[in-house]
Amino acid sequence: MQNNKYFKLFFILFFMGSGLVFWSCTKADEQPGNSLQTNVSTGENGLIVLIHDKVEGIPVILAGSEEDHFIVSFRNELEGSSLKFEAIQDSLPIIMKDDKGNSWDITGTAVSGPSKGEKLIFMRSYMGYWFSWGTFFPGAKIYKNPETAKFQPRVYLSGEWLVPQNQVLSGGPGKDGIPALKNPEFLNRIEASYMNDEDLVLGVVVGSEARAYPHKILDWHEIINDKVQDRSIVITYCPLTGTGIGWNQDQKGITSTFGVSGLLYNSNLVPYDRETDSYWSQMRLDCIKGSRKGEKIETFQLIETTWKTWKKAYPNTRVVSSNTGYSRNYSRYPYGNYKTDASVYFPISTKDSRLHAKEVVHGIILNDKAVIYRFEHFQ
Amino acid sequence: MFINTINILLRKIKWFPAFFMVWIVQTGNVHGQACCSGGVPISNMIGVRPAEIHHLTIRGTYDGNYLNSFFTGSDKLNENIVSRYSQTVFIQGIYGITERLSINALMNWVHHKRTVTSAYSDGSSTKVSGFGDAILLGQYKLIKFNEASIYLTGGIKIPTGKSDVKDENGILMAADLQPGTGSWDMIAGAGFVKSHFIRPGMSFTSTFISKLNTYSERYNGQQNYKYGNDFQFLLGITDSFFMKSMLLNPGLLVRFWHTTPDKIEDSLFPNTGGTWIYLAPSVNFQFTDMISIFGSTEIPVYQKLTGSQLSTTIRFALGFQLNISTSKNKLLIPEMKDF
Repeated sequence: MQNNKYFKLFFILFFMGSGLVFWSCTKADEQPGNSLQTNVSTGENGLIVLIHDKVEGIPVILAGSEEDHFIVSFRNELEGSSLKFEAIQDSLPIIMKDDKGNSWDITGTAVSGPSKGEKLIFMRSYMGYWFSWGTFFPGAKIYKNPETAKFQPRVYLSGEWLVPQNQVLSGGPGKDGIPALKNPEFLNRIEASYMNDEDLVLGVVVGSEARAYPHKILDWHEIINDKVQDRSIVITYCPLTGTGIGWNQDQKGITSTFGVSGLLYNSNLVPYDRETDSYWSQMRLDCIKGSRKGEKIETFQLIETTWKTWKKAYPNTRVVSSNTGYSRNYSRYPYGNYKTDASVYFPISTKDSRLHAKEVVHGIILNDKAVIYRFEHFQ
Repeated sequence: MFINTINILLRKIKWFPAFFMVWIVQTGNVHGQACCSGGVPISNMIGVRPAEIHHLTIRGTYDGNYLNSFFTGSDKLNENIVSRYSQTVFIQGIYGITERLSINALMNWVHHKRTVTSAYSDGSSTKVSGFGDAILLGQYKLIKFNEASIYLTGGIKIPTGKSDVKDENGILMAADLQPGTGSWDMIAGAGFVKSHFIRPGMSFTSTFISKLNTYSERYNGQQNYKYGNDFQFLLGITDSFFMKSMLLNPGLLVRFWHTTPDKIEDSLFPNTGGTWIYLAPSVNFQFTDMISIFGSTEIPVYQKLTGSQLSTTIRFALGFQLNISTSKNKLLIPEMKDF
């Protein structure tokens, strides 16, 4: 009699729980983007979560881990059709497999399966503080956030500057007052004793070579001109917007090295190229003043994550040495409480308070519009 | 003798230590000038002692401040990418209205030059010139006893200098390169002067000056910015010698200077504020009762800066002083010239 009572109670709770799970799944499917989350398993690393979504009608696959502090995004298309992915845990740099039997790494390369060697197209995307996305892409859609903001089309002016000149401000130190690095020294992971596991790095993989560019170096230099194998690249990082973006040095047949102009547009880094002295906007990804005004920048994939995660994924990685030729205390963050407080040092054209100003988010840019993905969706 | 004088003074004005303590506490609680110590050195000019009754003192000073030392905290880094040279010309008038009260007005013209030397920019410079902010002070001689006196100073800094100067490309210059700050600031302080210190020609000076700053608008009102407050404590001695027909006044001053970090809205602006201690030898040549010239230098002996900043490598001043009597009273021989 007593057992029968517990049996009924168990069934009631079971059906209530099942109903709740079904309801929450249905609600999730109703969110913008008609997205699907796939959580598979967890291990000693952070849980990798996948999101299948569409941006401007283009199918995309995002993979990320809040604990490991990375989000990567690719166009979900191989040989003309979309794939259905499933996360793979604890196998970095491998992060997912598809329904055709391929396994994919964090750079979007098929490392095994029938399409081995193929690469997914990297979406034009990067990480950064929310306020910068709000001001560079007004009205940006936030994944699974029903709140909207007014879309404002991007400004293209025809004068000396492509952007409103009164929004271009002096950051303080002057042109080259913040010294960009060129072909810095590198260390292997054992030699890099100045790095801590939780330090953030911008990782790049070219062929079989992996390199890491630490925030703690970039906070002081903002630009690193480098050559990996036969590829000339520029690592651009703005400490004020938290954005790290990989630029190709070869743009339309011109090979450029870049320096820090000392100017800011919407509180964001304005690099200049030393060949034509043209000024570029890091986040807009175009030239805003000079003979190359209006040219778009070609980007390549940078992966922002922790040093711990990066060296686990790429044990043979090399990392920029603290012996940069400049006397700096790289263990000290130069901007006080800036990473966490709500302050923005320089005026911005649009303020969007849907998220905390300094929340680090991943944005995908397509047709001058952005869709934002938060780490809370990757936990 | 000196200690006795202090004791007598303290007995006469029992509330003075309390006043002094309250002021220190108040100053310590308020939140320094923009990054680096390269702004217009207005605070340096405030510590001049009051004029005697019906005497007008006119001082002209050229101040050169060369900054080529890069510090993180108190560590000097081997770094010389950015250097600055700020030149300021001050004109200051001090007039004694009564036995106790005098007024002090200060105007300046400033020229900043910032040079970046790197592998890619062989010494490109940014230059800014213009009139700086003005200062209007009242100085009250609180007590004079036994060749010693205590005076109080209070006044305002008036934002007469431009704070929206743009470069040749039409870009607004950084705040620390602007001739003015754009803010109305309050100044208060106190000084103690003891003549016949140790020997008849020697004098001792102790001055406390604080500048409490207010917010100013930047970027067409899009941002409220507040320079950190200044707190200065100066201790100095001067002596007097006759050299032929000229009076020679060598002096040595120790200047303790502390500024709190700047603020943007309610947030502290990084890499601003710090503590400096300077040793400043000076010399004054008095040709007649009316005319003297002076020169001084400031050598930083201790610097502890908030974050990483460019700081003073060497500083020097040259100037003249005219003492004009508007009555039949004889002039006092000028002694310590704070700068």
